[in-house]
Amino acid sequence: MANTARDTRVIATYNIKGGVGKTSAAVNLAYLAAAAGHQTLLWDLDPQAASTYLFRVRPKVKGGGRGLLRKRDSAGDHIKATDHERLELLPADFSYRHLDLALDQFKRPAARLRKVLAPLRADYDYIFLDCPPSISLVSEAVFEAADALLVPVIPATLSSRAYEQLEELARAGKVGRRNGTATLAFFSMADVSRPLHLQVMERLRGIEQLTVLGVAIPTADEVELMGEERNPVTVFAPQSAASVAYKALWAEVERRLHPDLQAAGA
Amino acid sequence: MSARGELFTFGDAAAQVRTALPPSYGLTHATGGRIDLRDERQKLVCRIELRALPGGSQWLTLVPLRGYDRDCERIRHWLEAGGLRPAWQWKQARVPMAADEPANVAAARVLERLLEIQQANLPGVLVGEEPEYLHDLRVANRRARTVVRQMRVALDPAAAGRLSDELRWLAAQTTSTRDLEVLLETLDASAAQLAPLRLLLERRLERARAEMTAMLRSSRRTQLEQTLESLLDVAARASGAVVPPVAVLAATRIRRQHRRMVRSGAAIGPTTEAQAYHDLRKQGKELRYLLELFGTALFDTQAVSELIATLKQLQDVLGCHQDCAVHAATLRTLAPELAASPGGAEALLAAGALLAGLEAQQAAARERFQAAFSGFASPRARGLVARICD
Repeated sequence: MANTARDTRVIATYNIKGGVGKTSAAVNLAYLAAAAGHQTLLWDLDPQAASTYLFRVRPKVKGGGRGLLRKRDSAGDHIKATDHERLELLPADFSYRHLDLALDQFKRPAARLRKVLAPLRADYDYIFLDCPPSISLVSEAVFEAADALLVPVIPATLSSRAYEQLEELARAGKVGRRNGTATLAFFSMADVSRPLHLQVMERLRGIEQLTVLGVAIPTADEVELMGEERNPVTVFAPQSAASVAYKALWAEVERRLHPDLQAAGA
Repeated sequence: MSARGELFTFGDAAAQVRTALPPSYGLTHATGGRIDLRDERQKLVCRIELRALPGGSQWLTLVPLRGYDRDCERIRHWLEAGGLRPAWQWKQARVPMAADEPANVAAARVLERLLEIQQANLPGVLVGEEPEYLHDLRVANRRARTVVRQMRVALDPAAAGRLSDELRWLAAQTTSTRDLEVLLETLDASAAQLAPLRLLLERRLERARAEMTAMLRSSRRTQLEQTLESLLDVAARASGAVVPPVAVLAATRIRRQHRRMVRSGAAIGPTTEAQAYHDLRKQGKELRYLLELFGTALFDTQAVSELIATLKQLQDVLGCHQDCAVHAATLRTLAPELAASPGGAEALLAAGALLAGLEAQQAAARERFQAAFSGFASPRARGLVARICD
């Protein structure tokens, strides 16, 4: 059921490191939110435009990222419907590679993204931000705008290093600066048959500063196939392990974001 | 846009859509008479809602997906170029004509098209689900009667007379149903105290519709098509007199009709009977149809449009006056039955208030009449008539 009072939640899939499953998570979770009846928007902030590609939308925003940031009420004009009910997309644009510079023009750059999103809150129950892999002014603006950071982590040494960097940021108060912002990590591309993955997972779950969700997204061909099928996994392989994992992940994320609803449901 | 849809065809709509679109476009049938259209990226950009309606017409409504309005507009152009017809053509009666062709030939072509429109709408009228069919049929019928009457000198008199009779008979079968439909549309659906009145009107409408349907299924109606066609054929063979060119006859009729209306309107004062307003309105309809069916094709289009606009202002006032009169008369006839029905006292009071409202509207229309009529009878309007007819 859609929220009648539009208690909108902004969820950013974020990691300093690339290729960890941010886009796959954003696309699949946004699809699942919409399929559950929620009005959902996915903003592809990554100039590589992978989410935009997966939804077959042209990666073009008239006026580019600068125009989008300058006119606070203009984001709605660039939104495109996807092929899925209730799921819409604010596409990527190649100019997003200069989004840092564009943000820097403003007095409070970190607050800008939140201001751009403000008018959209009336229309959506969930807004997903698919972020580029970096630590930059864009990341800071994302941290400020999001109600939850969803951090995919590959349980391997280099990837866990990125996770630890994030932990340092959190410790320094740079992540989740606003009250109530949740930082939720989950394991992505996990292979439980590999002892190294199991060891890393165990070690990272022990870090108190950040929350690691119980669900892990397995390494799966279906996730790779999204690029061919240009659809969320749940659409073309609903029974696959990856699909089941994304569904479980979404249930857990939603439970974390709406504990009140869960309690009422229970 | 018509409530039936934006585009229509009597052919296989899905096949026509397929052939009208570029090969790079994808088309998939979804359930419930829907077609999904995908662009060259295989992105869903537009949905077509498909409706098969009585009489064999299929209607298409294009629903753009958010952010794809332009794509949808492009698709609409392709579909129109591919033979799907825009909704306005469903009742489009204008036919091309040359100024110097014999009036009987041009009139016959217009009549043929008007009969076609009536025939296309008849199956929908018989099913009775959408008031639009009945409305379109009645307009085409009135237009046809106007053409017969105004172009009579160019037609075979006996055949034209019978043609007129048959058309009038068809119209008469539909009047009660249409009046009741319009009255029901004007009632405030949310007003609870009007519920008994609404119920009564719905019952009457049901009866009127049943009577109309029976008559429209009668042998006279089933033969009507052939009768009209053969009469038209004979009528178009020309009268005994020399047939004038259509432009000459149409100009004469337009000028005369305008003069007649100016004369009738000038005689109307604040205390004039409602019938005089109604008669003027009927004259106005005839002038409008002459202008639309012949004026636009033959004369200065700009002047014709301006005269139609001026006439329309007057007709709106007269239409409001007449609708109020018809609705008030219907309500008065219902009063005894309404009083006897459950919740009748309250409904009667509500109907009384409704009646008072209609009378006030009618009085207001009378007050607006002089201003609207002055515009129509003004030197400027006469100048337009001169530009059209001279």
